[in-house]
Amino acid sequence: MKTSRTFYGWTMVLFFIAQPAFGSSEVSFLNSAREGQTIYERSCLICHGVSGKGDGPAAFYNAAFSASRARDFTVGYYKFRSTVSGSLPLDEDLFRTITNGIPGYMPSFSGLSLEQRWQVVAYIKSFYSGFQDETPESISLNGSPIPFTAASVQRGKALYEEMDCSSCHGRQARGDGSVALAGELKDSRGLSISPNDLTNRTGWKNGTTARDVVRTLRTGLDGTPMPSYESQLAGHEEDAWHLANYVLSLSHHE
Amino acid sequence: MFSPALYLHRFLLLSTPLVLGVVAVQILGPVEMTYAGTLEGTVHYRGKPPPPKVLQVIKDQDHCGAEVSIQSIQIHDAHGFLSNAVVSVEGVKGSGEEVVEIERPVINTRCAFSPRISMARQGQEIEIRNQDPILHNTHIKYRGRTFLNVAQVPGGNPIVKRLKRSGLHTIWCDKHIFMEGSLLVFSHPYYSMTNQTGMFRIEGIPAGKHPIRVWHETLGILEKVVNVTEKGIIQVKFTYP
Repeated sequence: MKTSRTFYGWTMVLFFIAQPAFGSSEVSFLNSAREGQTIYERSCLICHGVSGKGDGPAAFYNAAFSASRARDFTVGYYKFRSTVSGSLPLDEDLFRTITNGIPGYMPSFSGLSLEQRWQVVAYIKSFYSGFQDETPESISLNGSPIPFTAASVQRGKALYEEMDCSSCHGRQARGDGSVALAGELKDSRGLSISPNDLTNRTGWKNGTTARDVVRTLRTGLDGTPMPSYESQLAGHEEDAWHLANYVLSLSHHE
Repeated sequence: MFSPALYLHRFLLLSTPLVLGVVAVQILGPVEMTYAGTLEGTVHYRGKPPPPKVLQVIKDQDHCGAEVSIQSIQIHDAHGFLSNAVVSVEGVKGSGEEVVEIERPVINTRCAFSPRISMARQGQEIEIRNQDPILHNTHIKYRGRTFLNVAQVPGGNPIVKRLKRSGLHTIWCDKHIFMEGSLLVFSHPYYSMTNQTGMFRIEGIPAGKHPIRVWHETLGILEKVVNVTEKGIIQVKFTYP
């Protein structure tokens, strides 16, 4: 009895000594991550694994020999970002993916409360130490969309050829470009990966609005062959919107 | 017998050189000590190199050709002098001097990266350019993570990015998978690459026993410990395989 009281007493002393060592934001992050772990283990572990390596029980069967396997959170690259290529994502990027899910791959977790989703974000970040010392380099995506007009679509079609999108996505944009058909495209794990069929909007993993398409063009999808066109669009960002309008014109939308 | 004058005299005699030394350091700055040596040597390949890797080109054949032949083991004369091997001193820290912020070019030209093998100091920048009349994407990976994956249209803007970490950066183009390259980034200035005759030279190495490492893109790593002496020139020879 005396031993347990002594242990409890020392624990409380250590707790009060340790508290000032952390800033309030760190304490709140640690608390969030702790809560997030509980949710992660219930909802995410089956694909992303106990240690976040993307090796959960279901991951291998979802994508045994081809991409996309569940994200490995320990390496530090993310497809769906609003940051430059090679940069870590913003917290908002992780939150968006958790909320929206990835069509065909990951369910939406919009059923979780906002607070719970942010807690999961905090826990996911704890798998990779780079989040502690790197500052994500965001790309400004606040420009006004260019209206969906025939002229804009026409300009976008010319850009599609100019930027050689057809090499991977194909002339008809069905994901059947010559490089894709040769089976040469691989993801970061060396798994075969196919370009998106741009005529079928239901399979677009990074969202289906013009803004989502612009974001994909400008950031690229790290870990896949899809490059960032940010530097090529510098000074004429409106071209990204024209291209997005053309891509949207290829698929029927209810 | 106690004499204050004698003690004062002794005190001044002993303390004056110390005071003068401190004043000199303050005025002139710390004295540079040159405990450094030079490492020279050669890297060899023993035997006949394997045939080159031949890859079919399926895209942009007009510009890149129908097939590409890649021979990473470039040897010269009967002694098997090997070029493009990167030699570095391991376990040493930077010499403390400022990193010269020059841009190391990575150029897409004639469907290849030029230079194919390159070196840089941590903190320097790389500048990626496309001189071909076709689109390339330069994709660089560092320790499993994307460092950069950027598209470059013909005549497009060059891309500059700082090298924040030391280590091997692998480079390729997803559209033309025969385009490969490597960039080795070091946290110190003690590295060199073998030239056309398989020779290298590294100067200003702090004296002491250091592991010397040789890296080659397909032959892997060789390492041996060398005792670098002050102001001496140490000769060392490495042989693959």
